[in-house]
Amino acid sequence: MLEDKLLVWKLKRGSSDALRHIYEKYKKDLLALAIALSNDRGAAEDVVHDVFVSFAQYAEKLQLRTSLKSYLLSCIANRVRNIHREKCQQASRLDAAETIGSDSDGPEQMAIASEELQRVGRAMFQLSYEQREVIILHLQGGMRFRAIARSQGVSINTIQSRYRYGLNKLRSLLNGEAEK
Amino acid sequence: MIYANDIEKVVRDFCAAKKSEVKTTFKMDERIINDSLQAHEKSKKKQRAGLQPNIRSIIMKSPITKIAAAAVIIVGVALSITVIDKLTPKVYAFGQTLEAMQGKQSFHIQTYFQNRRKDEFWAEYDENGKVIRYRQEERQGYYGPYVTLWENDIRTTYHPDGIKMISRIGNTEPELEEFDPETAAKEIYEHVAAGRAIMEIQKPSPYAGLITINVTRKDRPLRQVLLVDPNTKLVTRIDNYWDREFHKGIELLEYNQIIDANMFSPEFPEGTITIDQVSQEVGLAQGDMSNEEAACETVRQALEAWSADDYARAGKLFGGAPPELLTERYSNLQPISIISIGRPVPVQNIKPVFRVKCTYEVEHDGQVKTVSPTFTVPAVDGQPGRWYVGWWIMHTDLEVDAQDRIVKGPIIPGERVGDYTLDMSKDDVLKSLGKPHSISYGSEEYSLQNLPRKYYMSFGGGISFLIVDGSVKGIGVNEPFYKFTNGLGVGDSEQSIIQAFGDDFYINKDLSDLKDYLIYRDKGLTFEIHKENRTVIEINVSRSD
Repeated sequence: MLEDKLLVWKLKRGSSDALRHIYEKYKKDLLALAIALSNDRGAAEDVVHDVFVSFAQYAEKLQLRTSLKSYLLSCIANRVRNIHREKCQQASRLDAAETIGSDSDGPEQMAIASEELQRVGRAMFQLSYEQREVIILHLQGGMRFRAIARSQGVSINTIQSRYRYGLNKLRSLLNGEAEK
Repeated sequence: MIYANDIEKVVRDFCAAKKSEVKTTFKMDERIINDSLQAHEKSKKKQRAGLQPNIRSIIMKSPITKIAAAAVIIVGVALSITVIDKLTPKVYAFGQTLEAMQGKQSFHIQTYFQNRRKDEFWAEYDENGKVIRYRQEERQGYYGPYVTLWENDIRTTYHPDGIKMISRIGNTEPELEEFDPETAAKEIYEHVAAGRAIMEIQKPSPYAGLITINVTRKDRPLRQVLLVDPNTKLVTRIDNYWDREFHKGIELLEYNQIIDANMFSPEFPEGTITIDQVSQEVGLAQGDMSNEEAACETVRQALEAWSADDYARAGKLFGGAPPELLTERYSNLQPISIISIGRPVPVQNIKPVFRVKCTYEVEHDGQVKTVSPTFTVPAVDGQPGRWYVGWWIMHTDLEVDAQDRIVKGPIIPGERVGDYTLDMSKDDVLKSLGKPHSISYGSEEYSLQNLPRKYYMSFGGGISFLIVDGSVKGIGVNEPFYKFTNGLGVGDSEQSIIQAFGDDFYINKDLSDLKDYLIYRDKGLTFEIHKENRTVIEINVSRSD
């Protein structure tokens, strides 16, 4: 945390090294989150690109109210959510297929994961986007519910409900008790 | 059954597993860092510009500060002339690279093919630019690297299967020239100077700090990308992209550094079988025979000598092999009676080589069996007009006839390709197809002794398997003789695939810009489609949803 504060301090004073350091430190977390939310490697790379360029552009005006990592993860989540909304609005057949639960890596890549991982992966994509998002941000990104709530502008109760309902549905799906 | 308390752990494990697979690429890193730094720089300039009027207005309010400010500006300008001269990087010209690379004494490079690591070379040169000696390590995955050493016209090749072969090879200059970074840089310069290529030099990227040079050939579909170290001016990497889909590259790891002498005279493992074609005459003299006749006759005489336990004669015909090659390594293939010597089939090679399939009887566990191994018959290097039987014997029908066996059955979506089914064990695949050509996952290569949880195993005949936890989870084919029952296969158009398999597919773009994926999830089929000519270049079969 201290290191992050120092990096942000340096960045706000124009240090390019600090920018590089922040990228190197969090690039994997950011890309992993973007892939988990978008399920599309190419789109995920673009999201990380856009978020980081924007972060660099407005770094000097940055006012962090949370940890740097949470801030960046929230930016990724927000960006993916916007893209998701745009896609839903377009509602093209292809987009629908991708968001309903396809793995953009295709069947061959799906086979890479073990049976168990495949089952969980498929079940995750049967959750609503909001439920999946909060589960991934909390369990993969390590973000606290309060930080997630703040970044999305909703109450912490809403976030906790989405999380709880999401996990319950996931458990039902994995146990084969999902409602048809 | 997953209980409420366990579900968090299940998802957490899932997230951790998915996250562990994620890696950024160099291209992605470079793009993001470069663009971010630019954005950062721009915002800094904007802010400075925004501050300027305020400072100026404060200073200019006072007449004294006006004079002081003027004095500061005059001194500042005078000083800056020298400072700027020292700080501004000198303009780079490709001639500096040619100069820096001139007079090579040694190099150590890594070659790439289709963006994957291939060979590693170490070479030493004399003051006239003639190669003194070199070492090549060819990555093969399954066996470990092949090692080739050359010095004083003698080439030693070591096969990690435990065979070392020494032969006389004269001029190796042409073999090595392709990988020589000095020659490559010179050639590029000549093409640009002659107007056959356009060179575009970019500023050093902020991320890697290297100068990028793009060279586009006008006379052929070739694009070259060079990376130059701005400090040493040496080329650190050259990538050649032919017609967008064929890639070869070299990375300069060391230049004009002293190479450890042991690299050129390594110790080989104990028990290595040495085939010596330098200190003795080997093979069979061709005489008046044609190449084909000589190939057949060499095999016939070699088998007869082996059958008669005449290991001196057999060893000579097997290219100078010691008896243990035949008595130990291939003891199960010693003939007792020859049935037929097959028709010699030429192999595409830089020197004449034939394959000859023979049928004869062997005794195995007290029983007489008929075998049909295939022998390789090359001309002897450094001994003109002589032929020998190569030590590499394809002694199971599997290796030779694998292709025939595979294509006996069609591609069944979500199920199989010929005899090879999803969920069959890795061991059954190996038993059926023999040794794989390569085992890899991502950019990593593996051996059968060192297998990860998931990997691709590729065999000759254009077939590969995705193995997860020891069983087949995907089968990929990329040769036109693999067909569906409807006759479609590799090489057919995307349109014909859609007509045959319907429109319940989706398309994913590949990052490489070379191909698209046409995916039928419900059928367990993925077609790799050439981005430009829209034909099928590979078919992947996996379980359907």
